[in-house]
Amino acid sequence: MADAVPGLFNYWVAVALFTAGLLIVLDSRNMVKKLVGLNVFQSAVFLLFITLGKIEGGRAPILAEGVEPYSNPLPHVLILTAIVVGVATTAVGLALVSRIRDAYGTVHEDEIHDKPHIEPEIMP
Amino acid sequence: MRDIAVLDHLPILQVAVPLLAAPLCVLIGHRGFSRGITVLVAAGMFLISLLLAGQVYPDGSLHYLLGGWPAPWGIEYRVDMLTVAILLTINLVNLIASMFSISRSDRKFNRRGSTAFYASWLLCVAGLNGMVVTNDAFNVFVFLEISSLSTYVLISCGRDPKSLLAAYRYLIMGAVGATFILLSIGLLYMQAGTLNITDLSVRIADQGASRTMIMALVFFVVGIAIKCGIMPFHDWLPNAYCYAPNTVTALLSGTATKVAIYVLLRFMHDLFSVGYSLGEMPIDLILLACAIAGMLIAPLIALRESSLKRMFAWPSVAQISYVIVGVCLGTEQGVAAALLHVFNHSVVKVMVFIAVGILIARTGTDRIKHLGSVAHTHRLASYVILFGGLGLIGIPGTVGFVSKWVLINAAVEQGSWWLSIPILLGSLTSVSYIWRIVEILWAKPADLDLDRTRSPITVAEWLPLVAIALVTLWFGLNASLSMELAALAASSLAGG
Repeated sequence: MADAVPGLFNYWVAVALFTAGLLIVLDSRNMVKKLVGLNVFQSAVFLLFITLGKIEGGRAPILAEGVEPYSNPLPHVLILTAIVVGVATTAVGLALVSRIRDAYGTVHEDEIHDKPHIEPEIMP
Repeated sequence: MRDIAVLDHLPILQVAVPLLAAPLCVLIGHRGFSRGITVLVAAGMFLISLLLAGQVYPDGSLHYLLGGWPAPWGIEYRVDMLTVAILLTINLVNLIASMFSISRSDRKFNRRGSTAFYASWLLCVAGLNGMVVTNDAFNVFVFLEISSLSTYVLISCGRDPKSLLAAYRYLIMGAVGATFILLSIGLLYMQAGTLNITDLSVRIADQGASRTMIMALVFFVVGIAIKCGIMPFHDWLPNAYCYAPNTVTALLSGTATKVAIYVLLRFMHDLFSVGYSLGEMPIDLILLACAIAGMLIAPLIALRESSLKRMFAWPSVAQISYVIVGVCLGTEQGVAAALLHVFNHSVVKVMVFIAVGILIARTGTDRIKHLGSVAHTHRLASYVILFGGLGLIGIPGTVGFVSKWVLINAAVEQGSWWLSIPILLGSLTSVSYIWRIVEILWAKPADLDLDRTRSPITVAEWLPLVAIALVTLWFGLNASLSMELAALAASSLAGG
């Protein structure tokens, strides 16, 4: 129990980032800030994956025989993919926010909902 | 010789064909070419699903190793009857919806009928098919994100700027859900050291329950529930369906949530095993509570909607609840009923949304109050909406009746006869909003100048509509084929 904090340091950081990110996503009314929160939230999971692949004193058993103890390189590769996915999500999100700003002139959710509802015009 | 080689590679072709066609659309950059290839690819994918069905019928399974690496290390694609059942459903819906997507009704309502739209369409379909054929947990996440990201783009193509808000909200909820699923996969890997779903299920069964497993299951169920649109997580769904272009609504309603249900089934019944996810953990009770709420509340909200498309989005929330009941029963009949309802609801929904799309393109509005008496000038679309509405209620002789009947039977057999009460009550409430539409479409005095809205229906509109209506009619009157497939699919899941 004594080394619960230093021994599991990365996991505690992951938990902190996870909750902080989720809080920003839920609480912020600014659309860009929400995306920032989403990134923090995703980073927490990335950190968790990377941590579980690492062992103290271990090296990657690639191109070398008899590496003992060895770190598992697979989670790192998985996270490389997940980071790409995260970047793509952020890009699509920011593109949407930029078009929302063009259409409504604001990126603040409250100001958008304050606008009167525009009935779609009737097409001939 | 060559033909045989192609037939061996069908599982990967199911994903690779749309994935390759998508950049082709953008590179060639010709609108007509993109439209043509989208329909052609959809037809090809449906053919591939049929061929795959022929290969595994009645109880076989295909294991396709990517790059020839053996299973627990390399990525494996697995095709069994359950996979085939879902593949057939989503590729049929995609074929119908893509035919409709080249019609005029989309051009009017889609601000950028550009090649990028069709590229996103193909990517979305590739991701959905990938989630179904893959047997690798991390692959599921990657394909989920491929389909989700392109879905956000497709939704934002709607004519109303509110489509942007709908897409943004879906993006935030979808990304949180996907990250939950990623976390769950990470925890599973931490516990079991493998990503192959078959291998995971064996190792997890050996190790027994632990706190890591509980967390993995909880994060997974919450994440996928967002994607399914189960009641408290459904917030993104009505707006996304309402403001997306008509063709995209037709595609999404029949595919996206259905694939999420497939992943839920795979993980809950296969990866975590029924005994664990429904026995030791009370997931079934929690999901059943959500499902019953969905069944009873969604029709009541639909009754108060002022937009036709938004109104028909709520039955999706309700019908997913019936599917969840089947999943949560934990018996083979329950899973079969759930799968049958997935198929039946998909065909009904894509049919209704195509008819609604045709109607909106003619009248130029989706406000229900403006649609008085339009049934007299737009007969085909209105009668199809009525037929679809009867199917959603579950009138005998329609597909909705077949699957609800099977579901109630499964519930009674499992000993949860009381579940038939909310199922019947929910169906009865559905009558009210369908009746409201019928009354307005047929009886309310005309609000619009109906003669001005008259314009001939094009081939790209009536062909998919009539085709899917005939499919729906056939499976409502003669359910032996769909019931047999659902039963085989359920037994392939139970058999492992």
